[in-house]
Amino acid sequence: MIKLLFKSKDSGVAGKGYQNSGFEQFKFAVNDPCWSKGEEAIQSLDLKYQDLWTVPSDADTEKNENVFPLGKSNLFSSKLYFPVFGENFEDIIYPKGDPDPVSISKRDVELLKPETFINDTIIDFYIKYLQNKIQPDERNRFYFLSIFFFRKLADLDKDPSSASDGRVAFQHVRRWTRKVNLFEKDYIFLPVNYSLHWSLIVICHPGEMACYKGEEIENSPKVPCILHMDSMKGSHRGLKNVIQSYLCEEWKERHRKTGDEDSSKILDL
Amino acid sequence: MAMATNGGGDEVPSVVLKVKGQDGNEVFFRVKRNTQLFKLMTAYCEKKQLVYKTMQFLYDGDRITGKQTPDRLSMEDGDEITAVMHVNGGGCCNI
Repeated sequence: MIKLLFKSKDSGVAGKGYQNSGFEQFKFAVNDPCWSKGEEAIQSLDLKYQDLWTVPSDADTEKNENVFPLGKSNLFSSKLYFPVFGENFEDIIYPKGDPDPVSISKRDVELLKPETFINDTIIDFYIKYLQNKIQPDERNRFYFLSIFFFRKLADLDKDPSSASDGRVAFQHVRRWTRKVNLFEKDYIFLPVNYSLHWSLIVICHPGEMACYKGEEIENSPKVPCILHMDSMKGSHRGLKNVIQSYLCEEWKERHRKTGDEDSSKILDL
Repeated sequence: MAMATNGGGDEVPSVVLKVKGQDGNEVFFRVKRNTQLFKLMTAYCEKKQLVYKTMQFLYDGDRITGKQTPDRLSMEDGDEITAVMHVNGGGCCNI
């Protein structure tokens, strides 16, 4: 249940007896069929969560109705929604027993507070979480590149301008993908962190590029393409080229003989 | 280290690892194959005057946790560990 109170601009002049008159109240229920599942999943991570889980039930909000005009209410304060973890908060290792687990510390969890930047650990955790939800027999269709992949590829720390040189950029991450053939995957997810902003690049059906012949593609269910999802539209523009030239180099590396011809098609995407 | 006591000079084999920082500089470390990498990572931070908690170490793109050892990760001489600082960022929500 979500309840919003809006304060209209002129509410300041309202008389004392009409304190609430300047507020418009909107109340609506959000129904997420997976909510209870998600709740269970989070609680199963750590026993502490079960104790700390304090989402107010419908009954609670009904009871408090008309009690909290904005400002006085603690509805939005982190106290209610964000549990305060004690000193004894132990790092959470997720998934347990995984060869490449994410270790989430108290510091990381605190980044989930409203109006805070989230870091790579949180993003990584969520990716792992989603990965685990994929049916095991479907898992090899997808590949999630490391958070730091793009950073390393484009050498953002040192000399971003060199990223335009595909070969140089490729060398930075050459060993990262040696255990996996990206071109066998249906979808490759690449989280991008650039100038304090997160976005996501999805490379779809990269393996189809070799058979890509102009018009045929429209009839094929598997269209090779690169999608860039960015909540701040346009703020990460221009990053596509880096990915394209990376894919070219990766293709050449894997297909030494026929590489050049096919890899040029990547640039047409 | 307890393992090394039985054979006198029979030490646990070691491996030379390279830690490459974001500035491109490389630092080499010789570590025993069964030493937890926590030791190497904190030593690196100390040398470079970095705060361990703000750093992430990667081996071929996979994150390293302190309890892992070179043996467990099948590391070989000259292998490169990448040291990066944690990154953060925001987004935009349309309300």
